[in-house]
Amino acid sequence: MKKLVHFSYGLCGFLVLTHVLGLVGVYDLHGHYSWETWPGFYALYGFGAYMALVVLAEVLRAAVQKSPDYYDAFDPEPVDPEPDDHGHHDHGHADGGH
Amino acid sequence: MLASVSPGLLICLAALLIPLLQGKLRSAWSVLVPLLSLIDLCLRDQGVDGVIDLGAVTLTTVRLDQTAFFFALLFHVALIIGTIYAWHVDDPVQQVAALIYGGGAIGAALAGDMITLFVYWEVIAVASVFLVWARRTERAYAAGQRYLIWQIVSGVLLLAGALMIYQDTGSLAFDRIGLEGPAGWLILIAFGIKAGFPLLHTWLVDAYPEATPSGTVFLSAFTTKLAVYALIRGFAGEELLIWVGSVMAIFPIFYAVIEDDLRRVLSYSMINQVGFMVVGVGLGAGFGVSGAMAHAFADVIFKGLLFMTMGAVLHQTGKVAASELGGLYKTMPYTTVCCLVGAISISAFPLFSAFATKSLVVDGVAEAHLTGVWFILVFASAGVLHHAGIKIPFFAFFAHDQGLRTTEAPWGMRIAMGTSAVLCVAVGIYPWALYELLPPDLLLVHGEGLAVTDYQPYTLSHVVFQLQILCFAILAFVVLMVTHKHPPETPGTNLDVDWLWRGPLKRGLRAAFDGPLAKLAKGFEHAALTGVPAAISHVFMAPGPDGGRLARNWAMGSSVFAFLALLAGWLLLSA
Repeated sequence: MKKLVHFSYGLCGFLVLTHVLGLVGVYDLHGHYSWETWPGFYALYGFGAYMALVVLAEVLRAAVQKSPDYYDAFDPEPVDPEPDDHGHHDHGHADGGH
Repeated sequence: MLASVSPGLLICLAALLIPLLQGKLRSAWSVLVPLLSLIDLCLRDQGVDGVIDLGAVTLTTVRLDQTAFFFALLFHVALIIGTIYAWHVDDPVQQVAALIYGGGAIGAALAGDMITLFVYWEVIAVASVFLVWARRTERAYAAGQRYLIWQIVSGVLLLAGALMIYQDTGSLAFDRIGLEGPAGWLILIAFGIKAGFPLLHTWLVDAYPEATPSGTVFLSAFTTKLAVYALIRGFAGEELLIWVGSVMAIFPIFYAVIEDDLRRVLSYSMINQVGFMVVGVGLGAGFGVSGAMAHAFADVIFKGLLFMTMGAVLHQTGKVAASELGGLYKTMPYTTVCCLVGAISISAFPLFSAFATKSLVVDGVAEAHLTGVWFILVFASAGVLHHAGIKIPFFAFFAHDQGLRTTEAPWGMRIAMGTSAVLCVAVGIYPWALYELLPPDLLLVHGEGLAVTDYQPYTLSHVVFQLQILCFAILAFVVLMVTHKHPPETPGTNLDVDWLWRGPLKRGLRAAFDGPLAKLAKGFEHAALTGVPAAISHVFMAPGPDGGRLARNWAMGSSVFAFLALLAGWLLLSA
């Protein structure tokens, strides 16, 4: 796990380096928009988008997440707990096979 | 003679033989039929075939051009892989339903007129619901009913729009429809339901995760991609679709983050990916339509692969919730590798399929100078990495070991997953083979035309940009995990817009109208049971008031419409 963490740090550093190599003219770095070639634009957008997604999703979770059986309360009659109906919990029954 | 019959119809007919077969012969037949049909499809000449003259209307059951061929080919591939995956299934209901569902999708992709399209549209609606019901749980039954209502409504709208167009133009040809009149809007909503447009999407995330492990694999391939095909035919270049697609690309990723059921995560992810395609359709010819088609192909394979791996996990462990899984890489290493390939493909890493297909759409947006949409799509790309690239493989196979000890999935499942994984990499490494299959079109790059087969996704800039956004998003995940700030997976029901008809309002309505509503439901049931034979005799017997052809067709149209409305009403009230 530690190795993977260090690998991801290294990879990100390497990518920044390749970006800089493009900027100084080792290869042709170009994009449709001017900001695409700014050093760190994609890095920050990727990092920021991920963080924003996680934070905003927590807001959504607080707003919309209810208990797993939330909708069962609105069923006209209680779900009949026949043992057969829980076949998907058992190995091999999930396909409804005979 | 056989040569002029639609391959879709042939597959549907072949499916009816399945109940006559026994044991593994059924599985073998299920794989053999689409294989033979694929050969048949490739040997057919392009053009129009299977024309049925009904007097006033002429049905074109086979219209084989490059676009139709592309989707028919894709559906064949999906059907073959799916039936191999389902080799172990010993359930004629699912086996018949899967073949008819796939055959119906192929028939619809080859339909040259709106009536043929409508018929197959309804065939796939009815066939596919059995893949949900075949799970044989109360939840699956209820979700299937809600699913069927949406699908039937979509069919009714399509038929109504088609008949309005026929009245105006005298033509039923399935070509460009546009949004000039109300008929166009009706048909757009019909297509939009099947494509999972925002607010019309709940059937997808409701029913797909409730289907059987192999059923969801079929479901993920056909309905939404057929809708993308229909949108390309009818509404390519409609600017509205760019905005609809953008919303589709962005809102599901938030739901995918908080969802615990990994197959429901993939269902939200599917809306997100179809969003990219819908943006492409909205951009119109060139980058847009080429991108939508190429990405549809890639998506069927990698999303199918991800659904297959989650189906394998569900089949082996009986669980598919992120909060209950973890550590499965020890006992399911093969499935783990396949899942990782699917996850890397959908995240659009270079050398994997989505990199070469999604970039057509994103480049098209940039060429059209739609800066806002561009930022949304790039944000959505980081979101895809979160839920499909990291969450699915990490929480199922790694994370903390939950002590689940199982074995690898049956060999049919493994072959199907392996085949899809190889295809994901093949498309990523050599996408030009896929571009060759697209209708020849010119991409406008800085105002100059570029053949789609000359498109070059692998520029050093593009690779560096894409790797930066993905790797720094992974870095964000690593930082959150190392600092223990990553939110845990929690089981729960996440309310979507279907709360409006599944939640308190439903109870309120039921309480208020319990008596009359129950009576009405009974009335509908009675009308449907006695009305169907009447409607059928009406269709075949009754001439129009003036005996004219148009009137006769109107009589047929209105009785079909009435019947379907009746059916929808009955289902709604008895749900």
